[in-house]
Amino acid sequence: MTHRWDFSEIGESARLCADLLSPSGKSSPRPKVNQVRTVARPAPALAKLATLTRPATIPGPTMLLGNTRQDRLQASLTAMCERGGFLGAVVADASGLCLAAVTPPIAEEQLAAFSSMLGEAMVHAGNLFTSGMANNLSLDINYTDKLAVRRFLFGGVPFCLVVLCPQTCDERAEVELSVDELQRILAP
Amino acid sequence: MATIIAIASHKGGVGKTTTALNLGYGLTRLGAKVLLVDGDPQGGLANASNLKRRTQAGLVQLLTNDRRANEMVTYTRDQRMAVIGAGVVTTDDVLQFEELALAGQLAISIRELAHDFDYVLIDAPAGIGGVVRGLLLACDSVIVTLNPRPLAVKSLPSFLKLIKSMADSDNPGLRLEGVLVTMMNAKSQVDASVFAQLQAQLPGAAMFATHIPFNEAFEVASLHATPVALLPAAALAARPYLDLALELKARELKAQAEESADDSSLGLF
Repeated sequence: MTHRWDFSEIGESARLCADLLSPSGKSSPRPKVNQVRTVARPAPALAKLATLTRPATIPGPTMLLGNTRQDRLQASLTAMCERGGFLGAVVADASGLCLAAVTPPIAEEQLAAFSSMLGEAMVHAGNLFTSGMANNLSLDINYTDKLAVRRFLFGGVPFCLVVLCPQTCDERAEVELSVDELQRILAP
Repeated sequence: MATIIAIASHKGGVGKTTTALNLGYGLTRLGAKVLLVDGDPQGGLANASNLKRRTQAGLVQLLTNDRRANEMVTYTRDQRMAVIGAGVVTTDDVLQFEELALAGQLAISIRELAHDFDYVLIDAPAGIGGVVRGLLLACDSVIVTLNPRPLAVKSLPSFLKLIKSMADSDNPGLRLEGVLVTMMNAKSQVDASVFAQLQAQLPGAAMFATHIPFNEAFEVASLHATPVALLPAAALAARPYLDLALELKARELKAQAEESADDSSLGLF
């Protein structure tokens, strides 16, 4: 048995929806898939890695002294970048306040705020998928470079360490060492 | 300040309360802090969440007894989700609730409550009457729930006209979040035909890609006064509402990205 329904209300609804969604309307469009944004940018980290050598004078953890805690954080990040061949790094707290930054590729405040947002995204990912903590995020930002984000807690307060490095770089060990060091510096 | 979303429709029994409760739970799984507001004097959400076992007080008492807002909000075991009832106990309360809604007092209170949350989901009563108009005054957007049945579809234009009328006059910030198809029975020829017509005719942005299939687990969940995801072995039933929460977040992020898009930008670095 076939039915012939009157769908005129759907047509009327469609016109009303189109009206509500018109440019002056404010509804957000349904996300489109396969929408790729092309970014024609050089990949500076890989080029820098090729020229890097490991000088004997790079300070180790015990050499990281300074008058203020910020000096020591800065020195620790600088040493980490030099040891690991990272292009830049930033450490920020959960609110996006930049504690220290080394050659940030964009304004350090922007990178710190972005780090804090990524840190929060990791918490959400942890809640959603594992009911636990997700503390590491690796984000390819072009064909050759990546951002590696390491979220860590100190005194129950979340912080984020973000490094920019080539995708071929195995940054984990260097980052873990630096997190230990950062926690020691942050300790009162 | 939270995003305030009404779950509403002209027709009753189309899954508004179920959507408010389960979408709210889905958003908490994404880390958001969610307040569920029972805007229906019948107290559907208060029943569905078992709030009435904890307190009968709600919005009416908040507005009439000069009570502090945080005293009236009841947190669930998961501290990321809280519920406030309508507070309608007597027939006088119903009249008072309607008067407060029409006077805009309800909207002011809901906006004040929203400060402590990421999302406020309002379970609106069925219809296009004064209470619904009063609740829509407080809202940023509306999710219209719809069964893919001819009678439900017939009521859709009148509700969309209400949203348009509110957006044109009393609440210029109000927008249609989307039409959500609920209780979809894929085996029914009627449901399939109506759903196909909705997909074919409604603009893509006006309809959620996620739809909620009919599942008896929702009935079981309402017996237990719990989101369906908390039932053992109800993962299949719970999945669409988690998908809906993700779709809502994706729409929100996309809208934010579009607002902040700078055509001259060449990317992050």
